[in-house]
Amino acid sequence: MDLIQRFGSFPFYVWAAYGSIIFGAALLSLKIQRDLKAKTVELKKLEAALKLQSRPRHEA
Amino acid sequence: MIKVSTYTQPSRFMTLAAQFMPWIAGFTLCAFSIGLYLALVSSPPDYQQGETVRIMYVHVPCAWMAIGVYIFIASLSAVFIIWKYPMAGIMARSAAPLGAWFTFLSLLTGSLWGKPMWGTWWVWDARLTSVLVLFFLYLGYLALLDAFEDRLQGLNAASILAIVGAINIPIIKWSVVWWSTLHQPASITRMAAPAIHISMLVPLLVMTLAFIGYFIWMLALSIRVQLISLRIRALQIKLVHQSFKKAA
Repeated sequence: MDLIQRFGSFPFYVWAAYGSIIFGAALLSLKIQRDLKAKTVELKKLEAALKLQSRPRHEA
Repeated sequence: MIKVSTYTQPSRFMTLAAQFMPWIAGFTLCAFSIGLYLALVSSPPDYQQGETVRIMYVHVPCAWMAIGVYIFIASLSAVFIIWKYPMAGIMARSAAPLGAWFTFLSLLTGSLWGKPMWGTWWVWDARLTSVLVLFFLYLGYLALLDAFEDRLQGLNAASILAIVGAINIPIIKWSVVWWSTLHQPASITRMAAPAIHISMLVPLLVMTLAFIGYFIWMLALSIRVQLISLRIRALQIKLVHQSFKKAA
């Protein structure tokens, strides 16, 4: 209860600063992880396509 | 003797990064949780600034990271330009968006601190302006990377900009000494003992460790993205060559 009251006494600017840092860090990490996932999928597709293309015609 | 280059070979890097990633992530989350507790619960309010001083625990590490990452990029760019070491270019390229993000957040949190303390969101004083210039340098570096059809040409141009732009780093550091600024002078990174009480210094340092951990974590992920992108490019070229061969 004390803690909630104490937090309530913090000015808006403090919460805005911490919020922007946490939100910013989460946003950047999500973006990088999404890029990594997309690139990994693209790489796998390309590797599969290359494998398929390099097979002899009668096998394909 | 083990060479540094052994660990910076792309394939070796990918293996090492995969091994250390959970540890770095765990360290970052732990340090950030402890840092948040120390910054918001256990540290005392300032006798002048009151509770608003808590912005310092996120603003200062952000500003340090903005400058540190730029020095990191400029050094790697020099290595890339002088020794043509490809991994240095890839690392610098991967670090740039992170540095730009830290700079933006340091400007934003600085503004949020400035309003209640100075009565204004922004003032064109030497420290704030030189940090804004740093932000533009990051944006310029990122823009140059993709400004050329040839990726290598873009990286060369961006590397030169990063090296030349490093002149801004001492200007940021000494701006509060050389000019009369609204921004306060250094309290921690000065030659004498820090002018900050230990109860505030500890949360600040723990938060800084969390920010460094976050940077290493995100940098490792970004380098993986870059390396996979290069592999994709190589495979695309190979695929086109094979198609031509088959058609011929």
